[in-house]
Amino acid sequence: MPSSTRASATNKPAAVADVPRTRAGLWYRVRRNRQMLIGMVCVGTFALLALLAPVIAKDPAALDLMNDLLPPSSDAPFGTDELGRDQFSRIVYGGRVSLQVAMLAVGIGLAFGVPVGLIAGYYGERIDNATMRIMDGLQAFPAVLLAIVIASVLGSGLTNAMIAIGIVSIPGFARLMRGQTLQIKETDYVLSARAVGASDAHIIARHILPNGIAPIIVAAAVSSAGAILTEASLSFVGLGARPPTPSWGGMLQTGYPYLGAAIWLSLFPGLAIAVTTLGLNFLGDGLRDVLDPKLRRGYN
Amino acid sequence: MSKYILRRLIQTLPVVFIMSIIVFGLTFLIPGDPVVAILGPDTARTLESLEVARKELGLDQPLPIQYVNWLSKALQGDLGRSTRNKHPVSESLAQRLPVSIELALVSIVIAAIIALPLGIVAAIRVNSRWDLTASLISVVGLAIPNFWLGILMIWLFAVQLKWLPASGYTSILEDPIAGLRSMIMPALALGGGASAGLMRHVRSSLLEVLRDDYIRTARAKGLRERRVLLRHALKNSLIPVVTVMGLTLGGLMGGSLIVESIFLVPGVGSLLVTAIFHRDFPVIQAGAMALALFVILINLGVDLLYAFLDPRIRYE
Repeated sequence: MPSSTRASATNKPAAVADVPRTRAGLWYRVRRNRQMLIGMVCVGTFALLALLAPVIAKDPAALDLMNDLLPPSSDAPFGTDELGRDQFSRIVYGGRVSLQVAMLAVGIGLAFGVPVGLIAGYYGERIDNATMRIMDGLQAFPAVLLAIVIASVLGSGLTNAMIAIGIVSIPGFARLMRGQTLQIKETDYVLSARAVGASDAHIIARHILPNGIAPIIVAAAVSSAGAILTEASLSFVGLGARPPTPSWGGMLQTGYPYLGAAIWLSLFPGLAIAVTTLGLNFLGDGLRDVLDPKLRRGYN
Repeated sequence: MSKYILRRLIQTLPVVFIMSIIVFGLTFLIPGDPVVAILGPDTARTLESLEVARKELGLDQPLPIQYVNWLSKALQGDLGRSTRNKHPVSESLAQRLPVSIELALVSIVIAAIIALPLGIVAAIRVNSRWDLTASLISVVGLAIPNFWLGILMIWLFAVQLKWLPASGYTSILEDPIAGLRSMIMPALALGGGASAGLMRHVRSSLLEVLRDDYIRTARAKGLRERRVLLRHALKNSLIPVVTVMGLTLGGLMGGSLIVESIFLVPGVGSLLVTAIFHRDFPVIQAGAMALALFVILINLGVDLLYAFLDPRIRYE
């Protein structure tokens, strides 16, 4: 075991203890999977709340101007907003928006990014050069900036926000898939498939895609966290879901002027964003361990 | 080295080219008539004929020619006029870009101040309680929207404690104290979030180096642990971190949009957000290009610095 020889050579086991390899890694893995559990609980809770919204929440658009800016109470656990709407209900319904954006935006990213990466990596040379330069150009923009600019050009609204966030996530997936493809296409099983006369389409669909998809799934989980954060930014500048549809970023924007009088308007939507994002990141880390142990050491 | 600089410069050109095409193409994604988008709906309404304006703006020409015209104008500093207040866009940008750069630099310094010690401790005491705490801080930091962090800070430090101004901007160069007081919260909001990712890289980079043979040699010849860490490990492990800091700086420019508008920092970010609210497309286009260009230049600079610090890169 290399780590033990190293430790004895230096008399400083704590300082040199490696990122665990096989045996010590077991404990590490358990801890990691606990992360995944936490992630599943966080995301699952919000998904469940979003699904059951009509049952557990009140009408998120019901105005009650007599009871505006009420602090959290048993009747309104997260308080009420400047129009007297129940904030808990708005957060529950806002979760629908966030999860929807995350799924569809990442779906767009996958639907375009994965084929681009496969084709660029598999055919190489000119196709690779041309497509990857376009991806470079897209990635030259900070992601949030590009999403905001595209959404502002397309016009406000949830669909456009999803398209914008989706476009921004294409290069990441393309790059990752391309890297996987480059590696896999040199493996013996691909070479032998080609030797027996398999078509390019067959090799790509049956060999490269299934063997290279694990890191993409991990990236999809992490990207959906990014998508939720970006959607919050878009909504905050008025480019996301249109009122009265509640969205977490939009709630932060409308609650911001009441910061001194009603901190709960700024607190809870932000917490919802943070917990969901945290959950998705944990989920991604956990998936990485489960699906692709090879990646673990490289990443940490 | 000069050969490397030249090669790296040439590699940057296609990226800038594609980026400019994307920015140019935005005009055509805008629903409705590009004439209206460029001149603004108010001006367009006063026009006698959209067709005449189309000709004057050169929009009747083939696209490649339009692109060349647009680019040559942009290179001469003519980025059009705001459809809202008719100011030349290049003037507003020249005014606001230094503010954004100042904010970004203060933020990255704050990010480094947070990330370096935490990342180093986490790597030295890997899998210890320290390591766990640091990685917990980093995952939480990655999940918090930076503008939310900003809002909470305003609530705590400006509204409740009244220690700092809630918003506004004074240049650090003009009045260092007031400048720092106005800059500290926006920079913490941006840098705090950025430090989370940076910390992970510091940790993994140092861990990698600590595994290397020359560290074992240094220890074997009886050097004090402190000296091994500071002189041998840290110095080498921080080189790749430089690159990550460049990338982080790019990410900061994206985050600066909303953070600047929350704290009313008169930078490019808040200019862009105002433009978005008014659908002021010439400003949106030029602002996006300015920020992207800044990011490309930063990354170029970082790569050159990297090659300077680590000669192996140059000879690849």
